[in-house]
Amino acid sequence: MRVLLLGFTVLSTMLFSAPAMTGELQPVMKSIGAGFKATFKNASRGINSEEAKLIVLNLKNDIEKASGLLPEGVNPGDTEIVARYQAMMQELFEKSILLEDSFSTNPLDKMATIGILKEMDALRKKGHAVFK
Amino acid sequence: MRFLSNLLIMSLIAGGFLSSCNPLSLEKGELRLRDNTKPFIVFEEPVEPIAPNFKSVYQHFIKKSCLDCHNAKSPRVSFETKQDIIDNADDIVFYTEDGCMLGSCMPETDSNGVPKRPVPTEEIIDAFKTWANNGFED
Repeated sequence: MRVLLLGFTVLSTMLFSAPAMTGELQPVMKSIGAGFKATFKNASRGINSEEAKLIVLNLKNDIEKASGLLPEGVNPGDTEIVARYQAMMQELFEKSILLEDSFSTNPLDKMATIGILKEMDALRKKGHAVFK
Repeated sequence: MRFLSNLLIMSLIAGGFLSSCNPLSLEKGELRLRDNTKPFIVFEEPVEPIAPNFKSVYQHFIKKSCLDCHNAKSPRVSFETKQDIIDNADDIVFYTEDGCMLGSCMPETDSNGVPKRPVPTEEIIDAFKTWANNGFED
């Protein structure tokens, strides 16, 4: 009975502590892409309305959500690649916090905001190259 | 000796046949079959008019400006199939129009800022957008 209980505990720990898998990431990434593009359009027009801020907030939340998921084909046991992905997502998350701050500033500093978006886009490119 | 002269004559005859059948020779006019149809060897792709459909968008936009880099063999997102293009339609339009402001010009530019591939015209970008807005229907 004890062995069975121990086995069950180990199994459930493995199942629930592993990052959620593949198929879940795609819609989140799609949402990040849409949020990013909408944010760029707003930034390039100097718009930081409440609606624009909400888009940034959702973008930040989506990035945080994506950090807990894994790209298709990545083995959760491959600690090196998982760490690489999570480090990249963490960096993206930090940029989204800067973006949020930037949108809270009045008037919106267009060039500085686009600069942050540029850095985020560079991370996107890097991510695509590594995790295609 | 006789063998050699026979070989020479046969070579001349074969050469004559071959040169008279050269389909690439423009002097001989357009190559046609007996029923007046064109042979299956097509040297030129028919030019599609610019329109909001897959064939046109593929020929005038994707193939010309994107496929050299965005193919299945490259580390980039592939636009080789219709589904690839549909899945990435938003990004294709976004980076073509605004990519330079993010340092991601599409098509890419060289160190002098000159695009490495033909830049899609406004007309074909509009056709792409219309095709997307119509639910990618042809």
